[in-house]
Amino acid sequence: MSIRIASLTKKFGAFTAVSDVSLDVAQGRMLVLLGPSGCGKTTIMRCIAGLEVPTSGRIEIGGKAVFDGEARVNVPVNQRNVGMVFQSYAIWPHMTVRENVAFPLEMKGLPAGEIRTQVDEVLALMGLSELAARGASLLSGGQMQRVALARSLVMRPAVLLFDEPLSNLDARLRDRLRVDLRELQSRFSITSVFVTHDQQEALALADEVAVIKAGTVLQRDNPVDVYRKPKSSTVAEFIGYQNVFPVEIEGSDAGGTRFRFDGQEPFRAAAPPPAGRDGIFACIRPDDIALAPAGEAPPGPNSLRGEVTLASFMGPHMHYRVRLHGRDTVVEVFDRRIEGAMRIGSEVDLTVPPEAVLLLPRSDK
Amino acid sequence: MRTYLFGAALALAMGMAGAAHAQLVIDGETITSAENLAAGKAEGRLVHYGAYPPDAMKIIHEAFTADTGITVDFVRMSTAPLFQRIVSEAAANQLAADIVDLTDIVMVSELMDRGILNVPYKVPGFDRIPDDLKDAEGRWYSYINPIWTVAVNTARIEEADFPKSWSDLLDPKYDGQLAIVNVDGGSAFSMYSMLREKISDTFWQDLAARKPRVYESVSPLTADLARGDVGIAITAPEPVMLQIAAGAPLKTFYFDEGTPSFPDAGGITATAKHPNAAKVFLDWITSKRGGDAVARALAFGINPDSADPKVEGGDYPARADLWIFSPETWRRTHQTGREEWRKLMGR
Amino acid sequence: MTALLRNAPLFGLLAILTVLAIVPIGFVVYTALLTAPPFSGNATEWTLGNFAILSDPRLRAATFNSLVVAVGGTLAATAIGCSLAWLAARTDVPGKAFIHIAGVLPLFISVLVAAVTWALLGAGNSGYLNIVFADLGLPFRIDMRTLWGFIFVEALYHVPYPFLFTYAALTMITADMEDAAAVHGANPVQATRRIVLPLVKPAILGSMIVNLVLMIENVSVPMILGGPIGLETLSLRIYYLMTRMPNDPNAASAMALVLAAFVVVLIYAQHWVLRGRDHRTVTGKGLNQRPVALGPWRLPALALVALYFFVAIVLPVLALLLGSFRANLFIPNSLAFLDLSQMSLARFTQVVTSHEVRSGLANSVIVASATAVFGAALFFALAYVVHRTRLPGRKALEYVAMLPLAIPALLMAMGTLWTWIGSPLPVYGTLVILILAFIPRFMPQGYRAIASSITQIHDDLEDAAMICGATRPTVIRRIVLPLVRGGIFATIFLLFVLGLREIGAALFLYTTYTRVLSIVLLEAYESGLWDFVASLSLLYSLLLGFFTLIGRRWMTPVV
Repeated sequence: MSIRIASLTKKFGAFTAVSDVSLDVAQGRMLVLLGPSGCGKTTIMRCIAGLEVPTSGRIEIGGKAVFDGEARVNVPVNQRNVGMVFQSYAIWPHMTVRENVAFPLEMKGLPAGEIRTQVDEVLALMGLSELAARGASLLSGGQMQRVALARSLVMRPAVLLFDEPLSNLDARLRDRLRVDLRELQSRFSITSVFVTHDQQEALALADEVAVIKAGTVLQRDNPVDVYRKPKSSTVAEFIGYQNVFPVEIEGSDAGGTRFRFDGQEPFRAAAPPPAGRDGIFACIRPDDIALAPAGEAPPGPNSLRGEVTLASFMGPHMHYRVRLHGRDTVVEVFDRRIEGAMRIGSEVDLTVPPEAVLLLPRSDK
Repeated sequence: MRTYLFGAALALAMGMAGAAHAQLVIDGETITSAENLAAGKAEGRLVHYGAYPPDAMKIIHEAFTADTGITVDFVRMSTAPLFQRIVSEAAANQLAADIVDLTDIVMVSELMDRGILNVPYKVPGFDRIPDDLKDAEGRWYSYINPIWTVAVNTARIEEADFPKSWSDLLDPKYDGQLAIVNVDGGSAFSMYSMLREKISDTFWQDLAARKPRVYESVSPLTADLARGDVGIAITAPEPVMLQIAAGAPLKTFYFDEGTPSFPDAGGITATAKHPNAAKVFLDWITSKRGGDAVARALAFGINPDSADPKVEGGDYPARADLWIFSPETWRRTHQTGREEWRKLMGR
Repeated sequence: MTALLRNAPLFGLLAILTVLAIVPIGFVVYTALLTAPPFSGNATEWTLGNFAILSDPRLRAATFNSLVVAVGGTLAATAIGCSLAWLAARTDVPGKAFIHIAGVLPLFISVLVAAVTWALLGAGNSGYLNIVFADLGLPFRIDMRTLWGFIFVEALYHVPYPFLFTYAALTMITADMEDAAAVHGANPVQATRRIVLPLVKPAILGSMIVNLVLMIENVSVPMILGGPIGLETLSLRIYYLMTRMPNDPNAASAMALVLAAFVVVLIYAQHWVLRGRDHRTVTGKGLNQRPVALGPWRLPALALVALYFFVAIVLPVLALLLGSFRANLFIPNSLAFLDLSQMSLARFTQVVTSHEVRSGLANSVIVASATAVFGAALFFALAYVVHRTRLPGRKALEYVAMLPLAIPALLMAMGTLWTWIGSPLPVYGTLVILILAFIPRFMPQGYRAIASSITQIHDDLEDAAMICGATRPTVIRRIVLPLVRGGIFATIFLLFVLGLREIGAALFLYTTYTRVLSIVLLEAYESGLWDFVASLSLLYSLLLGFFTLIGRRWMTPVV
C-alpha cells in the first residue's frame, strides 16, 4: 500500500507543528523522516497512525483516504491497519510475550487456533520462540523491541511506522537491530515510515529521506543525493557539513564562483553561483579539508591558516578544531593521519578544494 | 422485635377471640371507640416523629402495640433538627409522619401556622385535660411531660449542705459547684421562666451572680455531675437515675415550692397516611392507661388519673406539685426572654 | 452524530457530577442568599443579610478559636509527623515497621472517638489522668476543655498526613544526591538543609494545607470538648445554627460559604505549591540509600515514638475499656480504676449486641461498601477522561471533582438533603441518600488517588493497543484496568474505611432506620449515655484499627 500525504497541517493551539507537508511513499519503500527534536516528524507519523487528528490536509493509505479535512473523513486509529513500533517499546508488562503478540489478532476476532499459528510463525521469525511464555516486563531492551516489531508484523499491516525505535538501545544493539529491521522491511516489502534524528541511521535505512525542520519538508531525495547534494545550508548542516559560513558572492568565471567570507582572501567554489546573491552560505565537509603543518601545505586556491584548539582521536580519523588567525571563526577538520597528529596550539595550513565547496541558500524557514 | 411480634400475636388473638367491632376497654376504662379501633387496626401501623429519648419511647410504644395491635415506626431527633426535618419534608410533600411531637411549644405553634398540625381532634377525656396542656381545638396535646430536678453528688456536697428549696441554689456555699444548662432548648427556657415566675423576680440575676457553669445540654452536665466535677445541678432526672442505678453517689431533690415540667406536645399531621391509627394513639396516650405507660417511661402523662412516675432509689414529685408553663406566655416571651437570659449569663 | 457519541462520556460524567456535587453546593449558595431555608414553606426573598452574622462578636471569637486550633494543631501534627517520617525513612532506628504503624494508625481512629476518649481522660478534675495526677501528688492538671485541649487532640490524630507525605518524599532521595552534596563540600547539616529539605518541602507544605482544611471544618472535637462549656469554633457555630435554637440554616449557609472561600484560597495555595510535582504514592523507588546513624540516640528515639504511640493509641484504648466496663461514672481515686466490683462486661456486651448497634454497623458497612465501589468506578471514569482523552472541557471536570474539598461536610449534607427531598425518586429516607452524600464527600481524595495511578501508565501503552485494533473500551478493559488494579483496590479500601468512620456527611440525612454507626455514637453522646458511648467507641476503634492494620500498605491517602 502506498501512502500519500497532501497539505498536511497540524496546530496545537497557537503553535503550528506541521505546516503544509506533502509526501508520498511508494509501495514497499522506506521513507525516513530526519530532523532535530521538535521538528514535527513524530507528529506527522502520529497523524498517519491516527493518534493525532490533523488540522487540515489529506492522508491516503493504499489510495483510500484515512483522513480528509475537507470531506470530514477520519478513520479511527484502531481501524487503519497500521503497525507502529514505539520508542518506549510500549510492551504491555502484565502480559506474556505471546499474549502481547497475539493481541492484534484477538482484536481482529480470529479463532484461537489461527492466532496461535500466526503468532508462532512471527515469534520464530523474530527469534523469540523461546521467550514466548516469559512475562513481557522481564525482557531486555532489545528483546522488547523485537517483541514490539513482532506484534506489528503479525497484523500484516498495510503500513509500518517506526518512531525512533532504536534511540533507547545501546550502540551495538542499535546497529544490529537496524540491519534486522531493514532486512525485514524489504523482505516483506511493507511500506514504512521511519522517524529519527540520527543522520547515520537515516542514510543507512532509507529508500528516501525527507529532512524536516520546523514543521516543513526541507528536502526529499534518495539518501545519496541528500548526502551529496543538499539543497540548502540547513539541510547541509544536518547531513554532516559541519562548516557553514555566510559568504559574499563576488562574481563567477570559468574557474567557478568567487566569494569572500570572514575577511579572508577570496575563495573559489567549483560550482556555478546559486540564484540570488544574498543569504548564501559556503558548506564544506570536515573530511574534505586538507590539513598540513604551517608552511608545508601544497600551493592551491582556498587556503587558510590557523591554530589548533582541539585534537580528538575519533578512531578512523582525528577531529581537529582550527581557529583562524585573528578571527573567531572555527573550522572543523577530519584528518586520517593518526601518526604525527597535530598538537593543540600548532599552526596549521588548511586547503579546501573548490569542488568541495557548496554554495547554498538557507532554507526558507 | 420480639415485642412487636408479641404485640402482633396478641392483637391477632384479640381479633380472633373478640367480636370484630369491639371498643378498646382496659381495666374498666374505655380508651377508644370501636370505629377508631377497627379503622386503626386496618391501617395497621403508625409513623411517629418525636423528641423524647428512644429508650423511653420504646416503653410507651410497646405498651401501645400490646394494647391495640398497631405497630409504631418511630423517628427520633432532638427538637430543633426534628422541627427542621418536619418542615422540609412537609414542604416537599414527603412528610411520612402521622404523629409529631416536639418539646418546644413555640415550634408546635409554628407547625400549626404552617398547616402541618391542624387536625382538630378531641380525645375522650378532652374536658379533663388542663388548658395549658392542650390546644383548644385538640390539634395538639402535651401527652408526655418530663420534669426537671436538682441533683447533687453526695461525694462533693455533704448532707448538711443539701439544698432545701429552689432559693437555696442561690446560696454562695455552692459557688464553684453549681451547674446549669443553656437556655437554648425549649424545655430549659420554660424551666427558667417558671423559676422566675414562682420563686423570685430576680432569680436570673441572682443565679448569674453565682457564676454557675453553663453546659450546652443535659447530657454532658449529668456526666460531669456524676463524675464529681460539679456538685449540684439543675438537670433531667432520667440520666441521673441511670447513674444512681449504676452506683454513682447521686441524689435527686424536689422542693415544696414545686417542680418545673415541660411539654412534649404533638398531634395528628394534616398529611397523615394512617389518620385513624393516629387517632387511636392519641386516645390511648391521653388515657389513664397510656399515662401509666408514660409514667413507666419516667414522665408525667396528661391524664390526671394516671400514675406518677416512680423509680427505686429515688422519688418523683406528686402531680399536684408540677408547674406548667403557659403556652401563651411562652409564645409571647420566648425571644426576648432568651436574649435576656443569655446576656445575663454571658452566653 | 459521532461527535455527540464521542463526547457522551463527558456529558454523562458532567451530569453525574452536577447532581452529586454542583446542585448541593448550589443549594448552599442559594440558601445563603435567602431569608428562609428552601422547602420550608416560608416565603423567601433574596438577601445579603445572612452575611451580617459575620459581625456577631460571638462569631468572631469562634473564628479566632478556629484559626488558633487549626494553625496550632497543624504545626504540632507536622512536627510529630515529620519527625516520625525522618526516623523511619532516613535513620537506622530499630523497629521501623512499628514506627510506620504508629504514624498511620491514628488516621483511622475517628476524631469523634478521639474526642470522646480525651474527654474521659482529661476533661475536668475527674478526668482519669487528673485523678492519677492527684493521687500521685502532682501539682498540675490537664484540661482538655480548652483550646490547648483541642489542639492536642487535633494534632495527635492528624499526624498521619504529614507522616505519609514526608515519608514518601524522603524515600525518593537516593544516596547519589547526598554523595554529590558531600563531594562538593557539604557537611551533613548543610546537606540536609540544602538538598533534603527542599526536596521534602513541597510534601510537608502540601500535608499542612490538607490538615488545616480538615481541622477547620472538624466539628467533633469542639463539640465534645468545648460544647459543654460553650467554647466554640466556627464549625461548631455552623452546626449549632443548623441544629439548635434559634436555628438559622440561612446564616449557617452564609458562614459556610465564608469558610469555603477561605478554604478555596488554601487549596489554590496547595496546588501552587505542589504544581509540577508527581503525585505519586510511596513507590519504593528509593533504594540505594544510606541511613543516618543515630548512635546512642537509637533507643531514645524509639522510646519517643513509643511514648507517642502510648499517648495516641494505648491511653485512649485503656480509657475506653474503663469507660465501657464501668457504668458508674464516679471515680473517687486511682485505685477505683481497678475496682473490679464496679466493672462488668455485661453492659459492653449488651451495647455491642444491641439492635441499634447491629443495624448501625450493618448500615455503615453497606453505605461504606457502596460508596467505595461506586465511588471508585466514578472516580476512575473521571480520572480517565481528564487524563487520557482529548475531550474538550475535561479540565472543568477536574475542578468540579475537587470542589467538595472546600465545603464543610455539614453543608454538603444539608445541600444533598435539599437536592433530593423534592425529587420524585424515593431516595430520601433511605441509605441511598447517604451514599449520594458520601461519594462527593470523598471525591477529591478518591479522584486524586486513582488519577495518580492512571498517570503512571505510559501513554504509549494505550496508543499501541489502539494501533493494534482495540477500541477504547477494550483498551481500558485489557490494558488500563489490569495495570491500575493495585491503585484502584487501594482506593476502594481507603474509601471503605473513610466511609465507615464518616459522621459529618451523614448528619441530616439519616432517619431512625438508616442510622450509621457514627450517628448511633453521636446520639448516644447527646443522650449522655457514657458507657454506651465508650463501649461503642471501643468497638468502633477496634473495627477501624483492624481494617487499617490489614490495609496499611495500600492506604496512602493522596490529596
